[in-house]
Amino acid sequence: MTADNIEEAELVELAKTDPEAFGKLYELYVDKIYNYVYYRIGNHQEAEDLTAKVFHRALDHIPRYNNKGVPFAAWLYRIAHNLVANWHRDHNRRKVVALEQVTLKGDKQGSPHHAAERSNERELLLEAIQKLPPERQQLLTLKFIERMSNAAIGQLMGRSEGAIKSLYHRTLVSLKDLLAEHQNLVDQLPVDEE
Amino acid sequence: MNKKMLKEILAAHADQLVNGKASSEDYLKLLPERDTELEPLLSVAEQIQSALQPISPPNKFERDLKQELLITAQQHQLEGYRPPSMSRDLLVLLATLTFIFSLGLLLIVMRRKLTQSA
Repeated sequence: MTADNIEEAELVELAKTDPEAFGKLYELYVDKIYNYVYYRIGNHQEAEDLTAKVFHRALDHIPRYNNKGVPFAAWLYRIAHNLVANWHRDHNRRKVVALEQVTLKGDKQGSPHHAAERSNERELLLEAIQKLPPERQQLLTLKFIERMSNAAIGQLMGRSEGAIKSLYHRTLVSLKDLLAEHQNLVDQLPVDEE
Repeated sequence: MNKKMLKEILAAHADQLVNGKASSEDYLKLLPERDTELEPLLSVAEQIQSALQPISPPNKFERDLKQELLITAQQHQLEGYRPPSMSRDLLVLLATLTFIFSLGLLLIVMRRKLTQSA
């Protein structure tokens, strides 16, 4: 049996003793964990460091991993979540994602003006997202980047599917208010007269 | 009423959005009496969808980290690695504390005996 064609649960069992199987798990999840960490802390270098820590910790603890109906991904995200929380505690700050450094997959080319406008809107929105409480940021990352179902997010965050839907609703309302607040500030700025 | 319905619509819209299929208009029709509340929320969701796009970590980072992990995993295999265990650590701590406490007690008893014999 090779590590290429087996179910994830078997791969996880194998990875407890087989480095090659752990390598396969790493390949399956490295992009997801990197994205999760990056959008929670907003810095590429730190995202690399934390992603490395997540996988080293997973490697250290995988012999004790028990599949009790909780998917391996949830276990891995839990490690990432704890490390991100520690990082925020240690740094006690929230960085804004430097969008000019972000290489977006499938980002379509447009006119320079349109691109600048779009980039500005995106930056504002990301700033607003980073003002949200951690659990709401986590929800948005899992929903929009990892494209997880509400049930899977619920399992990962230890909540019911209904609770995730309510949290999503509240998150959208908060973001709408934050963006409106920003727009009000912009509207109050004096306009230059020619 | 329709707060539950509103949440369901937003959740369904997000699911469709991440699969690239959502159209706000279709969802607005589902709850016309609350469209003024629903419309800006659908719009925020669409903004989030376009702002939060997956990114790729640098190839070199991915390769180097994999190499590092494989080396560590092989070392674990060779050394018969045992993962950290909280209960094991607690047991060791408890044993150490008991030893220190017993040693202290023994010293006190010996000192008393010496004082008495003097």
